[in-house]
Amino acid sequence: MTDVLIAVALFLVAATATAAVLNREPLRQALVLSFLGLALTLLFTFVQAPDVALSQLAVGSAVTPLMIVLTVGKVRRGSTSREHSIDDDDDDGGEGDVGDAGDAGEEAR
Amino acid sequence: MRASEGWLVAAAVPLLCLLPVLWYVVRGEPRTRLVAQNLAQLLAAFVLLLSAQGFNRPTYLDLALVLAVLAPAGTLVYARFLGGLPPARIVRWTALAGVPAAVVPLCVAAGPGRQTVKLLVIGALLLAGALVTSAGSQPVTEPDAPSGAPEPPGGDEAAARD
Repeated sequence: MTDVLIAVALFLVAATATAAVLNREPLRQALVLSFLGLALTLLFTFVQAPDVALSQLAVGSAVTPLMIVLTVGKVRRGSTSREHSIDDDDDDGGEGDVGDAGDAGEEAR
Repeated sequence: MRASEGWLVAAAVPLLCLLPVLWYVVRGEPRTRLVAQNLAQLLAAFVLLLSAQGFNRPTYLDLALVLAVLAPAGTLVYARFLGGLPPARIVRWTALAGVPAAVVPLCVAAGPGRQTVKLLVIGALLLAGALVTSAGSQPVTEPDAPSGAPEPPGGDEAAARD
């Protein structure tokens, strides 16, 4: 029975990873990546590696998609504020904001 | 390692239910994807609970405990960024039917003790998280509305919970 569980989990991992590659939009990719973290957690549990599964659960299903979502939100916000006024970014005083807005502008072109 | 087959067969049921959920995560609208992701986390928690008993390793329950804590928080953070979470009856009914169906036999099999308390805590967390996230939330603020001032990151979950 363990072999069946491992086979199903392997199929889930393969299908989800392929789908994550084929999705081109970053926000949707973040959700698929979160599902991939879950599938990998189940696979690691079935092959008797709960420690790896625990770290995979924390990193893969929570932290990585959250960082992608935060980055996408910041890039979009930076690009819109740059289109409105360039002075607004300079008034913020944060160097990271200016750098991110510059990166977003380069990606938008 | 002596694995009891019946629990593993029971764990295969929510695992197979993950396959159609994967289709909705991959090919749905963004709102549908969020609901499907929420449902997938609930089903994965069931698989972890049942396989922990199936492998005769009670320490594997920690995985389900971590997932039960992380899953609602992650869903609410996503709902904040995707602009609201639609009400989902399927998540609510899956939780209301699945959590007692999984936790009660596990508690009977475990007998009185520390493991039963842990199982009940996991079940309560799963049920509470599923009920909160399946109630849905409306978009409180447009994500691109504030142009200048950055938002404090701590208020995201509180804003999404309203």
